Amino acid sequence: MSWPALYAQLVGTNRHSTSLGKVWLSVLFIFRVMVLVVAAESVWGDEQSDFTCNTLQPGCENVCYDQFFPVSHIRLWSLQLVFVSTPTLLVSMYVAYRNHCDKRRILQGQEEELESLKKRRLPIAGALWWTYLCSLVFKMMFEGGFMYALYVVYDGFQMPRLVQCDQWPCPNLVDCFVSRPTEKTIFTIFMATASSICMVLNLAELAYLVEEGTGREEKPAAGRER
Amino acid sequence: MSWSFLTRLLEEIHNHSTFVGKVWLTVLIIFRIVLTAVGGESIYSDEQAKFTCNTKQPGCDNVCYDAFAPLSHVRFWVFQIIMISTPSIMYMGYAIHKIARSSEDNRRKHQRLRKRPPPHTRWRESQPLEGVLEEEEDDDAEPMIYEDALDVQEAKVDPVSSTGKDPPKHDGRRKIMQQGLMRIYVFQLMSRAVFEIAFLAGQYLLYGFRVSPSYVCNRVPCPHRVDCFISRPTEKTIFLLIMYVVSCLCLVLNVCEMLHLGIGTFRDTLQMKRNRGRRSASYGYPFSRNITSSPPGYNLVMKTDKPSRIPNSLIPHEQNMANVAQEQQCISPDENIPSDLASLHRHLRVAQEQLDMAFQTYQTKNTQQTSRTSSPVSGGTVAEQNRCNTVQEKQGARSRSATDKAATIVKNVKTSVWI
Repeated sequence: MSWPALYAQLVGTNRHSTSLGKVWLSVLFIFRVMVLVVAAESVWGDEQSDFTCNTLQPGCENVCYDQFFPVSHIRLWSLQLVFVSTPTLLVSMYVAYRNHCDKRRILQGQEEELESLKKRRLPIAGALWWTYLCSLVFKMMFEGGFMYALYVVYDGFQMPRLVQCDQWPCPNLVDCFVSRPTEKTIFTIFMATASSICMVLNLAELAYLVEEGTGREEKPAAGRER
Repeated sequence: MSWSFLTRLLEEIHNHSTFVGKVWLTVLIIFRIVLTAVGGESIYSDEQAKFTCNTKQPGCDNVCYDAFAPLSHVRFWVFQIIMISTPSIMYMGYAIHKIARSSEDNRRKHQRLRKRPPPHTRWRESQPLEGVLEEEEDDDAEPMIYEDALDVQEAKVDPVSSTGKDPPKHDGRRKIMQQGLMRIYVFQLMSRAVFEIAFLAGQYLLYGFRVSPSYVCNRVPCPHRVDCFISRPTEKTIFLLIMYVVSCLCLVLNVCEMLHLGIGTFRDTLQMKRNRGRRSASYGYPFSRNITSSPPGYNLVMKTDKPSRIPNSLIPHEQNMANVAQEQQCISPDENIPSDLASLHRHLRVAQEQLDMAFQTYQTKNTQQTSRTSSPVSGGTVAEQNRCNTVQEKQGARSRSATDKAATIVKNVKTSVWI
């Protein structure tokens, strides 16, 4: 998984985010991507090789592992991180579109402003505000959706030590033992917590945007009254 | 994307820490991150594969390994490094944000100031502060000097070092203080220390000081009490002890940094109190702003037959007010000019004031009757002259007494062309 490529994409959009957005990006990369790559992947590294069942029947271990771990945690978290980062690209797409339109206008006029066009920071108002809001809503939806999916697939955030399986070709109800269950539970809880923190940050950013947007609508109304 | 992301962020923090903070960062990066990444991978790669129990019961290995190591050493150290770096990263984000905002505010303020001259009192109040800050700027160029120097005050004789480094650094204790970030910096230090202590305690409670070679396990499905054997226990013990020592070293560096900040702030407060005591006597005067004075160039037109030496004690109160008013009027044009020309302008202005004083003394000698003022006022005017001189000194000019300057200028005037 090429996380540096994702990072390069997201860092460019940082200029157009609010401060909360920047904090969200740091939390995402430090507490989730880094922990995933550096620590979690080694914990889940031997999840199938060390999944042992109390039987000599060949094939029973494979089948039982597949029954209890349809999607590995690592893959779920990687998908979650990719989906959660994507709405930010909506904002950068809109900014690129605006710059493209303005460039066309400016090329007909002066040429010096092209440089400032690239470096400027658009105020979050109007269509950009709506785009930003939509991106936040999508982020929260993906975040919540993946957390719920993890909870449903694995029946909670705790990794069981022992699972019992009687799929064919296992001869009877066999005990199968998961490798490193406590460590996996710790990491699952950690990632769920980081996910909730990101959701809270998104909510706060949403509230801030709404407040700023309504505040701006009131000001011209007040001006018109005078 | 592994440790390189974090190390890049931490290198950025280098530009926003004190000297001790930089040492702490280096220790963190070299000893902890590199050791964890390199040693952790090679020593702990087979920690579960080679964890064998004295039984053939399937599943007993897994269960006993889980009981022995609920959280592996390497993962614990990864959490530790991330949690300990977090306060520094948050501080850096906040500092960059605040510095960017303050530089924008300064730019706006300068644009506003060009439109109107600042009021008299504000200029007066800013002068002593500027002086102190300028003195401190010299030390910031070499924070190490502050560490080694016994007498910080002597270092201020150096001319103001050029701050033309790019990117602009905001490191060093004094720069942090100037930006108003000291509280957040101290808070960041304290949270780092708290995390460090918490993780040290956790490491002791979880792992102790030694990794024993064997572990007795009695969990289901193990049929009875089984002996399990850990892979590479001595190597893991050595590594564990090294990481203990590095954690303690980082904690000690944290404490040193807090002491360094505390002692430095204490010294600065003492010094500022001393300076304030020296200068408050001279600035006790509420100068009125309604001073009518001749325009700067007016007196150049006047002829003079004999030069007059002006002893400071005899300068009447009103003349100095005139000089001050002239200085005030001349402030606003300086804002638009770069610093070298501005200093030159200031020199010329002071010289002009001296000349005006000379001519006005000559004038008022003939016209004034009740000009003798009481001693505190003349003391104030003496201090006023001294302040003008100190301003020039700070610009790098040679220090001279006001009388000598006036005398030489007056002498020069006699020989130069006059209308």
